[in-house]
Amino acid sequence: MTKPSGGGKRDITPAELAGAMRGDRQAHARLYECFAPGIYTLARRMLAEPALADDVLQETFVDVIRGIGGFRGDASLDTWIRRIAINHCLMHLRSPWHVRGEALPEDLVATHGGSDVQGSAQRQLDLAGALACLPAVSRAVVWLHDVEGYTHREIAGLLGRTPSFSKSQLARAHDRLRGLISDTDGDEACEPILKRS
Amino acid sequence: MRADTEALLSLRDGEPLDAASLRRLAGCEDSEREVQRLRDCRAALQALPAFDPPAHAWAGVQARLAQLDTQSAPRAAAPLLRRRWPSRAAWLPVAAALGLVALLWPLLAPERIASPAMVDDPVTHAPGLAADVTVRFAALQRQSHEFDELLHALGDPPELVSAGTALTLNGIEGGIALIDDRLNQLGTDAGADAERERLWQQRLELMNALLQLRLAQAQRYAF
Repeated sequence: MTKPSGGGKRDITPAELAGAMRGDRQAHARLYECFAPGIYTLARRMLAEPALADDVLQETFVDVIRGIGGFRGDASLDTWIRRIAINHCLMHLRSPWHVRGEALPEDLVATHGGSDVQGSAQRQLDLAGALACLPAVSRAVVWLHDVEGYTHREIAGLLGRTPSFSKSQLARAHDRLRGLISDTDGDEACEPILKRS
Repeated sequence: MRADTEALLSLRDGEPLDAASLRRLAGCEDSEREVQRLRDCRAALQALPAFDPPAHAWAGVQARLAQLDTQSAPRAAAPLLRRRWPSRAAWLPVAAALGLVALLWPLLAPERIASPAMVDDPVTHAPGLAADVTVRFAALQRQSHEFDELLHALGDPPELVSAGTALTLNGIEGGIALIDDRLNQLGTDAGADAERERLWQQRLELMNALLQLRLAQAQRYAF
C-alpha cells in the first residue's frame, strides 16, 4: 500500500503499543501523538471540511483507544487506525447532512492566489484546491486509490458499490482535476475554482 | 486519438487491458504523455502537505473517553461535590486576559502544564507514596485544587467561541461533572479506593485539558 502524505511520526515502540493495549494513558497519548497528524490529514483531504475532519479525528481516536486492547496485529497498526478513520470519513460522506462541494474550504479562500506563492507551492495549492472542489465521492475515491493505495475492489467494498463504479469515479475525478489545475504554461487557469466562491 | 481516461489510468496502474485498447494505445504519443501526467498527478497528491491537528483535539478525545467510561458506571445519588470555577456570565476583557496570562505565566510554566495527557501521576511517579492510599488521594486532590485555582484565575471563557471549541469545552466540563457525580456516589466506601483513585486521575487529566484549552483561548484573544 502506498505510504500516504501527512504520515507524521510513526515510531511507536512495541513497549508503547503493549502499554496502550493494557490501558496505559501515557501510551494512549503517545499513540495519538504518533498517528494524529496522518489521520487528521487524511480526514481533511477526504472531507475537505475542517470541522468534519475534527470530528473524524476525535471519533477515530476514541475508537482506537477503546479498541486497541483487541488489536491482533493482522494488519499494521497504521493500517488499522487509518481503516477506522476511513470508515468514519465514509460515514460522514454518507450522512444526509453532508452537502458536497457547496462552499470553498476556508483555508483555500484565505490563501489561494497569494502573490508571493509561486512554483511548486502554488501548484500544490492548486491541486489541494482542485481536490477540495471535487464531488465528495470522487474525492474520496481518488484519495483512497491514488494516495492510500486501495484497489478498486477494496474501494468498492468500502462504498458498497462495484469496482467499475470506483474506476469510473477515479477517471471522472482525474478529468475534473485536469480542468481545475492550472498548468505550468498557464493554458488552463484555476478560474473554475475561484469562480465558485 | 488519445484513449479515454479510464483506460489510461488502467495503464498507469498496471491493470490488465483488453487487446483492442492496448493496440490503440501502442505508439500513441498523446496517450503516453497523458499517462505520464496522470502519474505526476498521483505523485503530487501523495506529496500534498500534512495538516496539524487542532490543539484542542486531544482534550476532546479525553473528554469523550471519560464520558463513555463514566456513563458505563452505575448511577445513583445526586452530586454533592461542586466545581469551583465561576459561571460564564462575565468574560474578562481582552486586555485583562493579556494581563492575566502575563501575571500567571510563572504558575503556568510548561512543567506545570505538560502535554495534554501528561498530568503527573502521583501513583506511579512520586517516590515513597505508592503504599499510602491516603497520601495518594491527598496528592491527587491537591493537584486538582491547584488546577481549580488556575482556572478560577483565568476567569470565564469568551462568550463567542467556534462550534468545535464549544463542543470540546462542553465535553470536558460534562466529563468532569460526570466524574464528580460518580465520586459522590462512591462516598467514603473504603472498598472503592481503586475506582476512586482512577476517577481522580481522570478528573485531573480533564482539568489539565480544560486548562490548556482556556489558556490557548486567552492567548488567542490577547494577541
